[in-house]
Amino acid sequence: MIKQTALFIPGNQPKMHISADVFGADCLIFDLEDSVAIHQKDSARLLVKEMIQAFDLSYTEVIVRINPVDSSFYQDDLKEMLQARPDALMIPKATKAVIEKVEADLKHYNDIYPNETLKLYIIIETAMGVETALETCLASKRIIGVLLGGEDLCTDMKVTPTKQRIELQYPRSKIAMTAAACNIMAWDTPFVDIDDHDGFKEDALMAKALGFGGKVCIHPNQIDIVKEVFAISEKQLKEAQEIIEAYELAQQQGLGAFSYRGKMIDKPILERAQQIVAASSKE
Amino acid sequence: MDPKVINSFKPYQGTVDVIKGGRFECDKNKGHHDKVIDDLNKALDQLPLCDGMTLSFHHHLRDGDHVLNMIMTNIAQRGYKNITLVVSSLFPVHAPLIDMIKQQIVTKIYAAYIAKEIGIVISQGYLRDGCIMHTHGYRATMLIQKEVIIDIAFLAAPSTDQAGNATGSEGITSCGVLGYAIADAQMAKHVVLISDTIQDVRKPEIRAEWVDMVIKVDAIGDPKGIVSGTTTITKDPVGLLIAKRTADFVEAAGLLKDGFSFQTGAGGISLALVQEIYKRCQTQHIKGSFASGGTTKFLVDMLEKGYLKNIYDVQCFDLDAVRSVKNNPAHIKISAQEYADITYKDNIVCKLDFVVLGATEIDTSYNVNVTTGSDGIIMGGSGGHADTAYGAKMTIIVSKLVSSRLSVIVDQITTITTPKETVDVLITERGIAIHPRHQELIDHLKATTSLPIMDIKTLYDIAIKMTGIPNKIKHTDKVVGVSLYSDGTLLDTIHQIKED
Repeated sequence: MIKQTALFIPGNQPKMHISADVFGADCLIFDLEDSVAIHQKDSARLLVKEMIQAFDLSYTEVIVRINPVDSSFYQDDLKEMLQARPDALMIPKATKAVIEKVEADLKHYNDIYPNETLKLYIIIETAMGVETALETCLASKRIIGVLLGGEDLCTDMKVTPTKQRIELQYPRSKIAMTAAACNIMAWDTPFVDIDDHDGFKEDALMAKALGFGGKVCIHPNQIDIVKEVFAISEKQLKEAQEIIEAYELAQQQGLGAFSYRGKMIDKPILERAQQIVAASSKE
Repeated sequence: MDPKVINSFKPYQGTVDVIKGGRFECDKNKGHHDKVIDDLNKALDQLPLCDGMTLSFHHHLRDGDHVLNMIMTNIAQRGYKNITLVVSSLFPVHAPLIDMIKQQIVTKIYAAYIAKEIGIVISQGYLRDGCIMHTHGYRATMLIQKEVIIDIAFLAAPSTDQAGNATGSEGITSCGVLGYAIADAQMAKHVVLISDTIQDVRKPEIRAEWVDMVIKVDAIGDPKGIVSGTTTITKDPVGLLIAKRTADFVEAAGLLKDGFSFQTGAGGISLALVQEIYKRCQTQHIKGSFASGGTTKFLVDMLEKGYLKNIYDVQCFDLDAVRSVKNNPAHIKISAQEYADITYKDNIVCKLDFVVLGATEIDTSYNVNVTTGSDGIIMGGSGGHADTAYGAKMTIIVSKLVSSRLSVIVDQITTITTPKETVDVLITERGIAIHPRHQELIDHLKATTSLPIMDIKTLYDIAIKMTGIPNKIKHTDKVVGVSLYSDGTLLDTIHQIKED
């Protein structure tokens, strides 16, 4: 399944819940954490649980961002969401220790709330989290994706976010690289200026160039922009198909190395072409 | 010469200001003399007020109108009762009518639109002789065909000269157009203009020869209130999605081409749609022939940038439209008759390629309700809804499928405002339903686009799965109003709501 777009939906906004799935996001992230005020945490939890249980969201991936494991809301979040049975939980402020705790709790609840198929997405949003991203990503086999939490990271680093996102250059590269090393999905950090569509597109293009597979959206208007940026262009697809055809022809002729438009094509380039064709067929 | 022929002519009586002895009664001063009275009470003293009279008002000042309240308060203080109001529309500002209805000062209302604040008391059964909900076009028909006779038309006139040549385009409280006042001015027994600006008028919409009296007041209304309820593009992502999907449909159905003509409402989704259409005209170099309605800044932008040849305007929804209709000869004022009277041969609605309208309810047969809400209370009215649906080649209804936990699609409609025969498409955030009479279009769109085309019953099922089946609206057997079609025939009755 293509997972380029993930839309955050505040857990305490039922009006947003009932139309969450019409915007074409690949994943929906129902949020119990930062977008929900403290005095509404319990009602958000119940609303999200009811939403997941009542509505058919089978054509999208349903994720719930629960509160941090060291918060007073974590245990209730976990228990209620295990009953709701989303496709995945999103764990904020993830570190190896945090994931190990979550794993232990999931195992503890498995007899009452079977959860062996439950997946995890993690959010790396501290400086230490960035530096230890590899061991965090490897901490559980449930982890299928990692999100960079840029705003919290800036707070942790005590820097002011810039429009050009200079402060995130290293963390972005690190997270994209780590995700590739662990063969999991990498989503780029949210872009908070929801009215700046041009700026968002530039940001998404940077994310793509760095190796992210998609970008988290905090407003439905951002979804189509991400899809446009991350889509495989016709030109890319045509070129990939031609490389594969040239390879197959070379194989028929018993040739090992072959060229395409004057360039020698080696194994990585061929594999990249095959990935593009495979990804295109899923779009 | 045959003496009989000579004797058939009445002898000359001499020339006086008023000639009554000849074949025609003539008054050479009518239409030309100073008709201004600057004291409201003195003016009303001179009018043939009586119990049971029929009075008319227009709604071009919208929620900024002061005139109706000013006149009716004075009439009520004089003790008159059983008055019939023939108003083009009623807005929340007209709330003083509520007590007048309860006290039977006003006992019958003809209107194309009634705001909920007043609709409630009618739905509760207080309006003794009921309300006749009609279309904008039929209002013109019934006045011009004398099906309803107005005793006195009280017409707010933003600018008038002393003789009664009036326009909506000038004055402190300029509202742009007086399209809904023309039939009143032409046909009422007595025509009274109320104005706060007496000055020369270059291009009158109301002609002095129709006018009997001009009352000068300090203010006829609040210019800010003229601005329609919603004149900003919606920011609601669902609304934006519906607008974009509607533009996709219009384009895929082949309706967006050189010379196209259209009308939309003034709600947030409609404005977003106009912007989408505008963008596509820009990128595809398409120029429309005209837009009509209810006009806003967004249509004015299209006109001024050359993407429309004309706007035909029967009322202005915002001050940019007011400015444009005054200054731009391509922005043309029309009367309600020219706009939507379906008996008028050159009406605008029958030239529309497509119209985009809203709905409070639509049933699975495509009947549409914009008169009563989900609680059965009168909260709107056809306006030009049924007229444009009749005339346009394609009628598109846009609405959220589910709003406030209720489905817009119902199995049984509360009040029919616009009949199914004239409705073609429903576009929601979850799908597009096209009437089966357009099977070719359905097949074409399914084969060539990724638009979510589905049966209206499927959309209904999707909605009900989310909302559950709502309780039925409780009402009594008492009929408190009727919903008339563009030709004056009875579409539906409106019943008194049953209150717990």
